[in-house]
Amino acid sequence: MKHRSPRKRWGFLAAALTVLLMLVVFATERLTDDDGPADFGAPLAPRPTMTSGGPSGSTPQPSTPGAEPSSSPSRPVNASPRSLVIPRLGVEAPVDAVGVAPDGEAEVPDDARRVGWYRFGPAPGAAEGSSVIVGHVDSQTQGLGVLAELSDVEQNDRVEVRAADGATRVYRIASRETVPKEELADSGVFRRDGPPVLTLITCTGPYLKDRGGYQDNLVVTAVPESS
Amino acid sequence: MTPRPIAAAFVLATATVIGATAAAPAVAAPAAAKDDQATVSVFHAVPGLKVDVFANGKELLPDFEPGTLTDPLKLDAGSYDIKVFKDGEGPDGTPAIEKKVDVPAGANATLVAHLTADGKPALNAFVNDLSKVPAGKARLAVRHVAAAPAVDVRAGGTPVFEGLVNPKEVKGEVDAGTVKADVTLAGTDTVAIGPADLDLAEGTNTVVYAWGSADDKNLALKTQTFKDLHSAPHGVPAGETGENAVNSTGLPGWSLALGGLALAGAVVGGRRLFDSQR
Repeated sequence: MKHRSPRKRWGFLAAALTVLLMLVVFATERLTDDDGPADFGAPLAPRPTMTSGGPSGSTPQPSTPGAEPSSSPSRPVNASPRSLVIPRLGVEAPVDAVGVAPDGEAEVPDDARRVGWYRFGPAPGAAEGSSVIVGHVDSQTQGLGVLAELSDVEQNDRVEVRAADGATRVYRIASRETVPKEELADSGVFRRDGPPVLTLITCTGPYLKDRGGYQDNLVVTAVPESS
Repeated sequence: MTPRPIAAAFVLATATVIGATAAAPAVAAPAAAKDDQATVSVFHAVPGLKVDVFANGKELLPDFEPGTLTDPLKLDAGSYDIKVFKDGEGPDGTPAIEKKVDVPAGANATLVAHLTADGKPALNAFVNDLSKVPAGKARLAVRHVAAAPAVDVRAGGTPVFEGLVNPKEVKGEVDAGTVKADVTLAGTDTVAIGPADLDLAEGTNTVVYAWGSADDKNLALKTQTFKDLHSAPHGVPAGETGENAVNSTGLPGWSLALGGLALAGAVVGGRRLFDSQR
């Protein structure tokens, strides 16, 4: 039969629409009903950062009097990041240098419109290691935080970090991964050696008030744009 | 300044075990060291005496000047007969200092030729603590190897370590950053050394030696830094209200509505298909 009856065609259309809607609902549910935004890209390979203490010298060479056997590499002060920009999502957030709170967790700027650069790790643009930028996903007083947008990043999205010295470092989103909070410290996101990456961290996952709130961190990794 | 009488040099026969505590699991062996090796730095803290250092009869450090701290040396684990000679007098003469030192595998230590509190040459091994430092912190160790009485160590004018005597070490973990440090005679405000700016970088162990001689007015500080002892912060508390979770854990209203519509469509469409095939 070459031509379907109008009734039959209507039936096909309804069935097709049904399948489509089912798919939409299913996809929505899948995306949002478990632990938050889906992972994508190759997850960050954890790298143990254990290295030898001090420089290793195999030849007995006395240093000159007064010289230090080792000194901390001086990072140019003006390499400190000042703003984080994700053009496609309209994200533009000022960056504060943050350290460690008395409880041993990383400091996160109180202002959910600002983000924090972990100042003890590498600065964006450093030759090695993971430059970490953290930010609230939501806050008591301000609603959703600027890094709530990490739910919407896609592979290859452009990320810019502008430094105090005026230089802009350009990265491309490579992966997004949900990491249980208790596994974050050992996941390698704070590594100080290995390939240079920019790591953006916020909260995600189920929010359980009696278990400290969010159960997971959302870890988005970006790699330097090849020039 | 009077040169120390070498003939009257103190010869120590007691064996010291480097790193009696280094064998404890709390002290991590440097990953770079081979299993059967130890890492040893040598600090010459006897003022006014150029020396040659011999280990088991072989010259380890020629023409070693006071105030010099070597880079870490890799040594095979084992027992070493360390002899320190006045420049050019070894290895057959009378050593200025002699000591048997046991070097266990995996240890990291600094061997210090220094003066005792009453001004006699001595040799001591200090174990370097290379365990991880908590995030945001720096480890500070102070070693009293000077011909001087008990001292206090102050940071920014506040005593952090008190009553330190030769040849002991005190250590602790402090907030990373630069501090203005000085050394006072214990229990007094009489400054013996300093002040000096100490850059206590995060994730490092900074060892400060107070050395020299109070009588000869050449007390000084020497620092030795061990890097890469940092830890990651315990976590990133980056959410407060659960607002973003509510957005994503509950099914949004529109998807429920679409779901309903889909069901209706399925019923209608299915029935029509079924009807038409009859």
